[in-house]
Amino acid sequence: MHAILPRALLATALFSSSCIVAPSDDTAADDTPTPDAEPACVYPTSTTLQGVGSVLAPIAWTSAVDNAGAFESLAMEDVYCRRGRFANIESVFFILVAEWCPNCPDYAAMVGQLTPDLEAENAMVVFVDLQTTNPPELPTTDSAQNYVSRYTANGWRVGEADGVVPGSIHDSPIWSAVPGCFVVRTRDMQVIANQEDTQFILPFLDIAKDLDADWSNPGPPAFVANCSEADEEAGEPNDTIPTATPLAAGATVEGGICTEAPDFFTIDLAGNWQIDLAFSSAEGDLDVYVMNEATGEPLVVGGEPVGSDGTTDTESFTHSGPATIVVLGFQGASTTYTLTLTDLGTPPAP
Amino acid sequence: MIRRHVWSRWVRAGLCTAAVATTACPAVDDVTVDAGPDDDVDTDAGVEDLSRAADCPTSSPWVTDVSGRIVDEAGAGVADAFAQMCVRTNLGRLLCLRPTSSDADGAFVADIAANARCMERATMRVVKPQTDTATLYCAVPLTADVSTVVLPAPQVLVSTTPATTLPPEGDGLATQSVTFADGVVVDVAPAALPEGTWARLAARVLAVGDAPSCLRDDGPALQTLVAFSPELDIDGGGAAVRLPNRGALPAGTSVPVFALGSIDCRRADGSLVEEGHWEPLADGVVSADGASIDVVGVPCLTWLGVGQP
Repeated sequence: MHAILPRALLATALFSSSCIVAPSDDTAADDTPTPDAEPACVYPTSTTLQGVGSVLAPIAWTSAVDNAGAFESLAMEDVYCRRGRFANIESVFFILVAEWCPNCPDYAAMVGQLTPDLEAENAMVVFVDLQTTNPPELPTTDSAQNYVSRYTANGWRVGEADGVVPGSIHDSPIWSAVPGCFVVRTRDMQVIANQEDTQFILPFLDIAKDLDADWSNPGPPAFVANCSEADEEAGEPNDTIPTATPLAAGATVEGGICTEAPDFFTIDLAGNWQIDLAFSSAEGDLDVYVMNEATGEPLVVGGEPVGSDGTTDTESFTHSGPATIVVLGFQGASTTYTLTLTDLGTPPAP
Repeated sequence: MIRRHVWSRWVRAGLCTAAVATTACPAVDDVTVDAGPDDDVDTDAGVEDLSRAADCPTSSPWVTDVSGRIVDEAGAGVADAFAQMCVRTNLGRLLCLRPTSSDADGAFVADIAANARCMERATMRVVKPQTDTATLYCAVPLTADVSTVVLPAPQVLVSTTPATTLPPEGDGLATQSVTFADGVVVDVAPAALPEGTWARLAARVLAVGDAPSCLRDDGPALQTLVAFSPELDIDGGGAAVRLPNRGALPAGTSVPVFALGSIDCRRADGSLVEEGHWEPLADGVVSADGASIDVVGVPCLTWLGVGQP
């Protein structure tokens, strides 16, 4: 089991007005500063934690699990003052999760995979468990450890109940939804990026590598090709509706989303047909839709687009009549695929 | 199949102009990314601008708040319950909003975070912590032109009854049979359940007509529903569950059994039963004595539904 410091004692230690380097016994005795004494480490004046530009208060947790799985305390003042193991930490990525949040496991696992690379850039990853399954109950660090360790073994974990001031992040306006993340530059403890500012996943590694760039409004992720032009289907270029490739029933197309452009195909069947798309979702998640040529957007019926956009290695759907379909990568995903059109025949007249 | 309904993401990503020559697609230079709450605040007036963001397609609902009422089975408002919404945005992200508590009359208003307003679908989770009520998941009805959503029906919290036979946890690893009223039996190892939940296991069988309307309206055709409390995601291979054969189906009949997705309801193959969605599990089979419909590999205990054979 882990040792937990008395909360009041730790609070006194952590919320002192500055983090002055401890004097030697001699200086303590006569109060005379030595000429070579190190300058005091004065934590920056904090602001309300509400977004990019905020300055994080010297928050701390009496109990935390470090990136080696050991329990100890964690204080942002130690991080700012570059004490001990934090000597090289240049940024802190606070990953905000809640135990009732269905998408937090995937987000935590994704960040967990990135954590070794982030740590190589002198970043520190802290998973902050904001609420138990019974909101607004604050989780302990034990609970946070139990929860986060299901999805990743990497990074630090803290539960908001074990804050020196419980709920410091939970009660702040920095988050309105989970999963979330905000990034603090330890040089000035300023928030430099916030997941809430974008609908795209934050470019974690890019942020860790360039802490002085403007991350207040990150756009779509850069396209990274997982295949080459040689992997593209024979019908290329078919990047627009007018240049769509005819798709023959029974034929199998070996193709790829290897550039940013989607692939379009035309289907000239009067009856029912089925599309099957196979690919490696681990390499890149692809989706397929029927296009509405008048609007340039996928055809919507009953409020849902006609097509298939799951998260597995296959997409499949049925439709009828002549159509143009599009194969595209989810948020810039890239991979090769196998596309098959099956003629299901004309249904009998009612 | 989990539908993400996120096609507009590639329009947003600037691919639209490359894909089709149509005025429906914004020029790449016009495509902007919502910069979050700060960008939506009119600093001059101090009032947040709630109008549709320029980059939210008109085909996608733009929702700024959702209001409703949480009631018990008698229709009385439930105070201090929590309404917590998860939103699938038009770009495919699943964002779960900070929970909102109900007032003395059960009323609540959930303000939608700026980066979640352009949505494709949303699910409302309603929970009254530390009570015997079953957590409720309902789809939020959305239309493209309504930004202030008022839930048409109250969110009903259904009470459950503690297990009638609850074996001791023992070492936690051995499978135990937990019996509830109305012939429901769950075979599960205590260690497969979240810590501290064993002693609180409770369930209740409801006829379809007695179930909250959203569970009847948005899912498959069911003949019986079973509510569990507290909601549980089961580790490992799931639980074996015996459900009452209220339809008096003959022995050996196969019957589809559905689970309502909860927080992290994963089948043995790792696939997720999406939160708030009825999804089929393995078929149940009517027992030899005709008393129960038996199903194995149940990955979570929130609501189970017995379908039509």
